[in-house]
Amino acid sequence: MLNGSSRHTTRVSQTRLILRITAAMALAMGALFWHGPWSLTALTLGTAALAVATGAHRHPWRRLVLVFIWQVVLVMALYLLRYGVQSLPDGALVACRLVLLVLPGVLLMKTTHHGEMARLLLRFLPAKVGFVLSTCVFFFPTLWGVSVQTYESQVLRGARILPRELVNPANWGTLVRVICLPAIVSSLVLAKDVALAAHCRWYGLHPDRTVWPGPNPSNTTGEPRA
Amino acid sequence: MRNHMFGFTLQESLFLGFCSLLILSTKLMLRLHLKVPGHSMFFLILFLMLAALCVRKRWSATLAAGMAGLLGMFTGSGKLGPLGIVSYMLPALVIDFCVPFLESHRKNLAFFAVAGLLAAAARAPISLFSEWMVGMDVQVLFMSTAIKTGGGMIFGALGALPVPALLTKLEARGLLSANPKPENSGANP
Repeated sequence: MLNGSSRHTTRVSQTRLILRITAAMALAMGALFWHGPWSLTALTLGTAALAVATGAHRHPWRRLVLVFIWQVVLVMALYLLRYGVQSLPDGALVACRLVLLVLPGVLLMKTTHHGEMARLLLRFLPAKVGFVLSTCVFFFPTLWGVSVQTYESQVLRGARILPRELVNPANWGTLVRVICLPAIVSSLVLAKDVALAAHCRWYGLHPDRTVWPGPNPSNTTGEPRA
Repeated sequence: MRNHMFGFTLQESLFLGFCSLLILSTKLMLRLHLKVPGHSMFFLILFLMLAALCVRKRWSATLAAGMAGLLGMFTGSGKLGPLGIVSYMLPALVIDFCVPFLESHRKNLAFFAVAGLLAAAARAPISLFSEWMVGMDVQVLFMSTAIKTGGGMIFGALGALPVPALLTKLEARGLLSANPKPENSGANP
């Protein structure tokens, strides 16, 4: 579920990814701080170039457009209500600038393979944070599977937690009681089991990064190598 | 158990990581089915409060929110990109500041609702800053932020309400100790 967009992404080198991130940040900062006469044209062209470079045309556009509709409609409606029809061009300019602020980041995130992004970020994160994040992502399908099983069992026994029933916030209490509580219990138990398993493999014995059982074949005790 | 990172044990860090993934997955799941503005605050506040009150260490909600922001960037689920980390961390900071107060008033639902309301309102500065910087008219800016944050505040308060009952059930199952531990007891052996 979490990697649903990976079908529309391509793998790129780390250097190219850093360049794209820099470009996206520059465009977003430009939308915030640059209010010159040619700013909107330049930022639009820059964002279009980024879209072409990231291969955004292979991405399902409907979802991408839907992200911005609410924002644009709200800004235009507020300008219309407050200042009348003559202020609509001002509202359109502000809405356009807001879209240009968010769009580079969205393009980058939606078109970059999450594994590439993870690899790049883990380069800059401490090893222990990287271990926790990657372990959580690795074990999350187990936790999610348990939650899905619980959900289906609760639906079968008549709990009002089907998607159409969750439109009514009155049913959210049931969802919390029958799904969130078991999910938290499973999280606590799974975290305890994974931590115990890592502890049994001597994880964290040395302050430096270690591997288990270690590349040295003579190391028969299972003690980790720093 | 040893201190793994930032004063948290490995077990606590993993639990906070799972909470952050639950936040992301419920957000993605709700986005598919519901079109109510601000509804994602319900599960954000719920899981951040549970993370903070289950681990019972300072900055636990902030760490969970930071991991949610990073994992959101990994998976491309946030529309704000790197700004998404800040949008997760501001409510978490408010929750972390409220945790000592909430622990001493576990039976009072009103305090939890107010904490949820304040935590959800903490997202407003991001909206205010970004919209002010792009040149939006001040009156429209305040109306826009009020509309966007108002729904989130209501859902945030609703998300905080079930937390005391859930904590009581977790304590009844023996998964949490009934009395809060001292600050550093889990961090160092």
